[in-house]
Amino acid sequence: MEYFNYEFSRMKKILLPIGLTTGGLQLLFLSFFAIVGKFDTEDGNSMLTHYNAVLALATIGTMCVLAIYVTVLAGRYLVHDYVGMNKSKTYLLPISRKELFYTKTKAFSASISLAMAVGLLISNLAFMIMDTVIPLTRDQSFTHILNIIVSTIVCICLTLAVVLFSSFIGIKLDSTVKGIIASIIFVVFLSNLAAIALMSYEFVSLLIAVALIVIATMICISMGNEIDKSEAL
Amino acid sequence: MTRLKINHVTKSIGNRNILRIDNLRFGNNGIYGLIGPNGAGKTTLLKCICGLLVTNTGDISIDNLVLNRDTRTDFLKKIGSVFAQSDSLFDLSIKELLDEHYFFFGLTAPQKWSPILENVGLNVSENQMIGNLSLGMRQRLLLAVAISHKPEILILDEPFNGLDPDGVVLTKDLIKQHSQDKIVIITSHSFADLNGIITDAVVMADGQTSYLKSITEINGEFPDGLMGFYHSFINRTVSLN
Repeated sequence: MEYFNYEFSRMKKILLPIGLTTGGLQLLFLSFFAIVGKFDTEDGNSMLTHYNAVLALATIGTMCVLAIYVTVLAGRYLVHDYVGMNKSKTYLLPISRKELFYTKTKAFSASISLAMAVGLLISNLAFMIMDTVIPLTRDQSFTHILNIIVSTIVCICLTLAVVLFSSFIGIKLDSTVKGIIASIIFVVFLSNLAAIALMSYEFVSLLIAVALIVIATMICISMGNEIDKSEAL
Repeated sequence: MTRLKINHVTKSIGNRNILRIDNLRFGNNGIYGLIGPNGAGKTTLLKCICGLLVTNTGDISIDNLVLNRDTRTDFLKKIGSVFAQSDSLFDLSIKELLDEHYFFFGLTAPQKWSPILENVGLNVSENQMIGNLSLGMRQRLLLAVAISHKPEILILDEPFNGLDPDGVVLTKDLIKQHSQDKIVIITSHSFADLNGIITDAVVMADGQTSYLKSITEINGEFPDGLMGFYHSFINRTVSLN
């Protein structure tokens, strides 16, 4: 716990930028999709007049941007210590390499999740109030508290999964840049599928997001074992 | 008394044999010069001692503690080291680097880092980014970090790189102070830097090491001292590959 607290304290400086970026993006996407729906007069049953659809699209939009941004941060706070000559500095610390890697990963994941959760909940709440005062969607958003909670969890899990998978690829390929490229590829593949799933099958998408986190954890364990055996040439 | 022992160590990378050391012991406190041409395997040997590289055969031990994956943490607590500078340092401030070192070595961080920095002739703010320091200043900082936990074995790979003449003198003084009750192993291409500071020397060529000799023995045996010892060994070394 002592190591976790130390690593977490080092990552405190990313909490505010991630929280603000998350909140800003979510509010921007929510307003954008809701306004598009409001002015979409051609089709009276436009998808974007329903709060659930607006929330799903906005959440996935936020996830896509954040996944790439947070992978860039992961490159600096996690991957960087395990690539090239930087490995020597990390491996010379008198602590089990595996334990240090797990601690860094846990502290980074906790920082991201916390900042995102706060950012998403505040922005969703702000939009909810805005939607009550100036109705933009057909169904009032305050009736969708459960949808907000589920979409927040899905967004955090998917972002974290993309960031962790990309970071592990970066470490494996010994390059922070390759990790960022991997995150862009993941986002391209995931964005459409995730948006459709979150709009139509909310709980299935929650299950898939949680399953991805479980897979990321398993890969993290295997990565830790690999780091423990590796050399710093 | 700490004794660093290297027994029957071999190391190969890919198909290339890099090290073959039968027996090398650093028994007493002192400054041991590890000299040899480029590519002789000096850094590889030092990295093996620090557990950064895993040997294929043989063992490395400090007293009765044999280096392996389980003992690596305890081993590293006894070692202070300066290797080639990695760019992960550049994004850190001096304070962050010292904080990290003190935390992981279980030391109590002082209220101010300036006395530690002044000890190596660095008159800079602790909040300054390491990337903004010159090569020589970074080298001094790394030395300050390496000796901060008073390691039993201090490993310095080319510590004089990038240092100005005053820096070289200061570094030599610090190394001398530290070696009074500890082992210091130092590599350098410059015999001028090593002369007058090392107490013993071992030559390394093609992954193999000579006998360890004291400077008194070397000066008695070779008319041109360290240079003669160096040439006599590298001229009769047969390549491992």
